[in-house]
Amino acid sequence: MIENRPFSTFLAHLVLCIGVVIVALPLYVTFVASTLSAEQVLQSPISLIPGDQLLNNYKTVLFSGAGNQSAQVGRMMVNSLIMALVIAVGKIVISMLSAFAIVYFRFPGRTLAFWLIFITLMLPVEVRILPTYQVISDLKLLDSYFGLTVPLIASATATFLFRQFFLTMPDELVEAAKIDGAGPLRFFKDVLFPLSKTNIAALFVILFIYGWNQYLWPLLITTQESLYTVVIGIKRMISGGDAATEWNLVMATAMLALLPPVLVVIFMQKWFVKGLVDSEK
Amino acid sequence: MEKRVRFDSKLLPYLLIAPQIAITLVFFFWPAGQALWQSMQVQDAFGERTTFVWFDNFITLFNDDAYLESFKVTAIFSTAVSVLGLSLSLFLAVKADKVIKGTSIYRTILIAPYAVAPAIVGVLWTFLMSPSLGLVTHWLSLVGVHWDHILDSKQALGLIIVAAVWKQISYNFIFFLAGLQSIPKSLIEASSIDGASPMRRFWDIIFPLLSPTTFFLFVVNMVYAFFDTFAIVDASTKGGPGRATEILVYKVYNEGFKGLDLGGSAAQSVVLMLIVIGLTVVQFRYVERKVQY
Amino acid sequence: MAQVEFKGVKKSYGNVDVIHGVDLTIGDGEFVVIVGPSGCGKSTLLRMVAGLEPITGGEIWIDGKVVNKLEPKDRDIAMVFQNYALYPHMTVRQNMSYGLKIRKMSEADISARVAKAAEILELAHLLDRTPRQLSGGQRQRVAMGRAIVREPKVFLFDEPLSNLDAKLRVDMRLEMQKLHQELKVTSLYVTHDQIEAMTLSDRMLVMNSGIIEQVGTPKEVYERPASLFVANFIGTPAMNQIWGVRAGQSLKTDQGDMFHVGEFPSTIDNGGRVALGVRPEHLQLVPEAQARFSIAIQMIEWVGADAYAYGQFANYRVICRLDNATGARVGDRLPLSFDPMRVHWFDADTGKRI
Repeated sequence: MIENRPFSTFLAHLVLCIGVVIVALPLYVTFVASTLSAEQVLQSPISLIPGDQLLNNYKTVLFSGAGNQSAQVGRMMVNSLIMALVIAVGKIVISMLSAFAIVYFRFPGRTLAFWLIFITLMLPVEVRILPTYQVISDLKLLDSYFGLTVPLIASATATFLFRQFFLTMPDELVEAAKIDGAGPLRFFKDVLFPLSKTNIAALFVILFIYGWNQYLWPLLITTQESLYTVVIGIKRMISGGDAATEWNLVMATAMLALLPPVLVVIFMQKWFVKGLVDSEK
Repeated sequence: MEKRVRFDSKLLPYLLIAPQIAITLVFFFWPAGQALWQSMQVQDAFGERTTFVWFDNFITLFNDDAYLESFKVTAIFSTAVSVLGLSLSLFLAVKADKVIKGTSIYRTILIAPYAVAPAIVGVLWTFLMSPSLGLVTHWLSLVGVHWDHILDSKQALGLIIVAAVWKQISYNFIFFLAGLQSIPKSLIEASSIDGASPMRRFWDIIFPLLSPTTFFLFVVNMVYAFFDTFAIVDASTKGGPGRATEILVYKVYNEGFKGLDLGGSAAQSVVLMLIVIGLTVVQFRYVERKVQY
Repeated sequence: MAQVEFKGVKKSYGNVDVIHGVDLTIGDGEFVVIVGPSGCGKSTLLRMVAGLEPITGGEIWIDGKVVNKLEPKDRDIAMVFQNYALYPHMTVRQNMSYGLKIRKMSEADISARVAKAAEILELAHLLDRTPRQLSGGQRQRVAMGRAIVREPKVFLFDEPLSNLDAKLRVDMRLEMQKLHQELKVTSLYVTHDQIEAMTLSDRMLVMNSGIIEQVGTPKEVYERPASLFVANFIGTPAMNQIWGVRAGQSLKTDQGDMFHVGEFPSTIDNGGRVALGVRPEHLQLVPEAQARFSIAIQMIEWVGADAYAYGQFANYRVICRLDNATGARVGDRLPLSFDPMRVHWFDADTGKRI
């Protein structure tokens, strides 16, 4: 600190507090609404003090479903978890392998492969919705876990992150391993993988959130309620309009949908920030 | 940058790279290629015959007032989201960089929205600003603002901007804070010895040094506003009222699945691809500059 | 233990030759140091022996076998790297045993070898630490330990002491000498530090721009440098050089100054252009009348027991070692002479010793 002016510090705290209140408000209101009864939630203005229906509401959505559909949120959360985990682990595995190939081998087609991966950066799902849907449907992958997850696990960002990391590894490490007699796979397993652990953890946080929060993709791929993720489920709950919507249950579901990724971010904050900042380098 | 020493193996690198390339080809390049191909074709009403028409679909598209309107909405939306989101988070980051106590609490809460799914963000803000029972709607009515985004198209656009900015504050905040913390303390000290006031210090020293971060974030925010906000729109305004909040991505989706004009929808996809390519090129040219800096 | 032979070994990257044909035999148990300025190709030569760089011409033999096509692991060599290249996530013990484990040696044999090496290198109490927890000197020992446990035919050292501070480097140098006397393993050691080269080697090899300038014992190299480059590179301060043409029994410098030399080697014709080299310690302070030439002292460097006086003759810098007791000062004139037997002659065109 250069100036030690109590007033400017106070002002900074004040601004931050206001910012934090504004940012936290939607989350807090969601929580409060999820603890109210169906009548209480329809009163305007809504109460800012939690009600007593917390257990009731959460039990209802988890095990019986809500709104104009019967799917249980518990089931949806399992689907979300599967999707998030398969995408996160899958992306990490295939990105690490391809980055390993690109950095540690010289082979015909290496540059081509690199560019193919690079170009995927420019083709997000959103810009090729319809043709991708057609491909998935031609391959009969609609309404399957495979179709829900595998097409999303190719990732240029993760590949570049690992490539960047591998490039910063001292060359002598490979040389020492070669002299010690380790082949490429042995080197990967004994040296590269253990040294990548922090990067993997950081990337896992980012990718878990990415997978859990997917919306457009499951919207395209799933028509059966048994495959709905919780993010999709909640959107289907509000399709009836204000009057027909049981907002207390919707908000309970929203809490369930946002808690896992929010907790992951908060409790793995260090890795999250590292993952975010690194993957944009 | 290249490695000095590599492994020699004929087959292994291909096996290692095969999964990624396979997925990339099947789920990225094949659909993208189809979009390109279809964008130059017209299908008759029964879906039996297709004719190759070169760029006719694009010409039709850019003569379509609704499409141009959607372009305008997208431009207003993405600019508003980027500018508002960047200024708010820069302001908060500067303050967070200043305080010593409590930083981790502020940071923890400020990064939470990053983890909330865009669709959920749409739902939360729809609820907060619902014309009949929203809390924010109630507060607005206390200061004399009548809020009804279901009828008022400007307010509808306002709703999705607020929701999109709220979610993106976390991301911007993290990068701005990291950028601020990487400015050498000696520079700030030197400028204060030169007699610069805190305000001047910010505009003369800190802001210019942050400009690479700001530019990078601006591009990322544009990409975010263009593409990642689909779920926010779908979960809140659904493009309405009328087409007031129909951003390009939402329009492609809407018309692709409901309108059944294959060629037109593919042409829209191709236009979007060109926009992403443009933004990516800008971003990467900037990254090269950043390396030199 | 084994002999290492280089037969016309060459290295080129595309059209650029970086090593121009090396022929050399390193005897069983011999310690050979390759010394030269950075970029001279010394590390490349070592890495070709290790199998980390492909050999583009000629053959390298280890223990009677051509190893050109062999993988590093099949050459039975061990290498110590400049930055040690320890695996950061493994303990000292794991680092040392990794190569043995890959070679599927039994657990018992591995721990016996590690224990032995740890004892020699005084690492026993550090075996369960990771490299991060060690000092630079300790890391260096671990790197040596990793090489020793392998009991290879050849040790390769790539500037192993350059990352240490000056004092530690001296200690480790002595220790390496001791170690070599104990183990007697054929060793090839690369350094840019001439003191390391002089003190450690049985024979040293001076390299410059991909060419071997001289091979010989440190004494030979110091006393009879084969070229101007070697004369310049080995010895601190560097050898004095005066360029000129023979004029009878005298040398006439390029600037026209003359001084009496006496006997010239018979191969230098009258009027032939040469470079005369004489080491600072071989310049003697003599009475004015006997002086061959004299210099005015521009600067004196005191280095403990001795002092070096810097001056100029004709256009050439002349350095002369003085006894501390001389009491010379800056500005004094020093009449100098030398023993003609202690003078080195080099061809002015080729730089080769005459």
